[in-house]
Amino acid sequence: MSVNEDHASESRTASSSPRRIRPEADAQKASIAFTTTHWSVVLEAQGQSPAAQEALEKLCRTYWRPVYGFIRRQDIRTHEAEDLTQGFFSLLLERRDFDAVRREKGRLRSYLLMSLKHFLTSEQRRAMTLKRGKGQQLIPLEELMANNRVDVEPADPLSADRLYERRWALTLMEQVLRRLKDEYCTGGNTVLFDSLKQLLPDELGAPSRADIALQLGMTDNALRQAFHRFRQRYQLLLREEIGHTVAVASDVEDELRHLISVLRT
Amino acid sequence: MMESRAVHDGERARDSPIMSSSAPRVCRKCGAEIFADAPEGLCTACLFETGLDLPADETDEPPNAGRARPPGAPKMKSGSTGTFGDFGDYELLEVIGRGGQGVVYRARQKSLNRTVALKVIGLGHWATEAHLKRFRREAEAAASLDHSGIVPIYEVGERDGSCYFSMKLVEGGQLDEVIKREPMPIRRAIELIAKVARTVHYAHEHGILHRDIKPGNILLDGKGEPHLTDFGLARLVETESTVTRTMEVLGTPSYMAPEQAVGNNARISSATDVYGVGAVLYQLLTGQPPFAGGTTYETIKLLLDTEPRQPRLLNPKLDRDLSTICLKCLEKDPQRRYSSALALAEDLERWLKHEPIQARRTRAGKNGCVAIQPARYWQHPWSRWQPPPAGSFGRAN
Repeated sequence: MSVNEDHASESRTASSSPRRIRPEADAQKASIAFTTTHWSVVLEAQGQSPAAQEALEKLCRTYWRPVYGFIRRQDIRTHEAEDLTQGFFSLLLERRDFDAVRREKGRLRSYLLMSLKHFLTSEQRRAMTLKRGKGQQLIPLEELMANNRVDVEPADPLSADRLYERRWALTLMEQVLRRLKDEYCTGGNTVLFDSLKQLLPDELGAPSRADIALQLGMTDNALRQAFHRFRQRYQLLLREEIGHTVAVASDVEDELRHLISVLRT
Repeated sequence: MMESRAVHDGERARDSPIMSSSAPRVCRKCGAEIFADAPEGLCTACLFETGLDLPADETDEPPNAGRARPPGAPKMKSGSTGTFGDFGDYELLEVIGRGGQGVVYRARQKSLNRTVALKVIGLGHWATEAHLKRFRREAEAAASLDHSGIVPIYEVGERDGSCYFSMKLVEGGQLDEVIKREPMPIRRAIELIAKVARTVHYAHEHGILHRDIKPGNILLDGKGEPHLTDFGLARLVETESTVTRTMEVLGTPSYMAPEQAVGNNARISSATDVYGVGAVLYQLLTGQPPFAGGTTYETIKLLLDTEPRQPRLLNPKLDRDLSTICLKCLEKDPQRRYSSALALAEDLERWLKHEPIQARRTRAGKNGCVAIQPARYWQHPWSRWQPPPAGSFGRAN
């Protein structure tokens, strides 16, 4: 599997300054560009392809928050944790540790956690990384810090590992819904998205389809078809997003089940 | 298996998809916590679960249909797409339950051409060889139980990093789903719990503890008879643990005894199961478990620090004796509970026959919570409570 051509050409311009990452919003727009790249493929290809390196950087940027949460759970102060997060990813992207991919059965989630634990236990590396992390803008920490989300986590009684996994699951879902929302918004269907999303988890007490149809001025049949398409697209995006983080497509189902168990324990 | 906290509040459930608590919210469908920053404010676990359904060529049943669906007849996946495939000798037909411990499938055992329930437990990173051995030992012991009130286990094994066991498929559904649809009459609830208690006693006589008695582990057959399932399964996830560890692996501890919640495995005994049966009884009688916080942590804190509310305050139709029986099961100190599940069953049967019960009442404290009281005299079921004479002591059960 290879990175697609559109993405490759797009990334050539960015490759002149490989450590400068585009703002998050731009990254979202470009996320479709690596829809078929499993992360391990990207990793193994990064030495040869700027596009692959760019794709890997995107993955790191997307999934920085579990890493940051894990670091904070080690009783590390906010600013130091920020620098460590930046430095960790910076180091990681340069290191290209292919063996670790195989050791961790190809899961980006496991790979990042293992790498993180490894470097946090090495004082020398940590000091070096901390220094390296200062001033780095690889990860858009300030955006999410502004939303006051991350520091909610340390009050939670979960262990660092569980916190990491939980945060991972939330981040992944956030990505999926954001992509779905972007697609609907682009087509001028923001209201439809906001209505149909309520039906997605099949929660008790969610508005009925009839209520939503009435609200949107649609027939029941039209709404049923709209939701059918919406659900299909959601499922596709979810599997695609998980597919970015596993080595082979057959692992998607297992990863999906794992994430459910993480959230329900 | 999914757990629900919505039992008697159907209207409220429709109005609000989420059980609001002081802090984190809990999904009314699956019981998972909905975090403050959950994407779009939806239950992320349920969203992922939706992803388990393949992009189908159908799905045109109404969104609410799943809720009205009888528990024994969950929604079929689109079979033509081969959703689940094979798992060794089993062809996975559909998911009929999910929970923190694993997934239950309706499956066809190919070699014997029979339909079974297959529970597959993903072991994750905390499993060790010791866990596996212990699970195998416990599951094999549980498989040896032969009782009409216990779901028979056909096979136990491990495959692809998961433990699994196949068992008889009970079509009626889980107790938690049944009571979610309609509250159970008091007398029917007592009859049912008395049977469950006798079943648990049978297992205890054979040296096997259940360790995870809750409504989701009680299946009802077509005639409404209870069948206990998942004997000894909780053993798989127990460790020499702390509260945190317990929280991680066991999920919602609303029916868990205090000695389990603190990870004191040395104190786990038949009294732990008596607590579990009592907690289910409490749920049936009051519509809610003895302790339910907004999060697992809060629930454990309530469990350890507070006493359950008097059942009568939650359901005025209950008489004092039922409250007494219920609360005796829920004593923090295992030694103060019924001495056996049989003793509990017999007291429930006494109540059914309008005979005096043997449990002694505890006194309500502030806010209707129960204050532990050492003992009191035997009491006629219709008489008002009388303090024991000075210097007297009640007998232990």
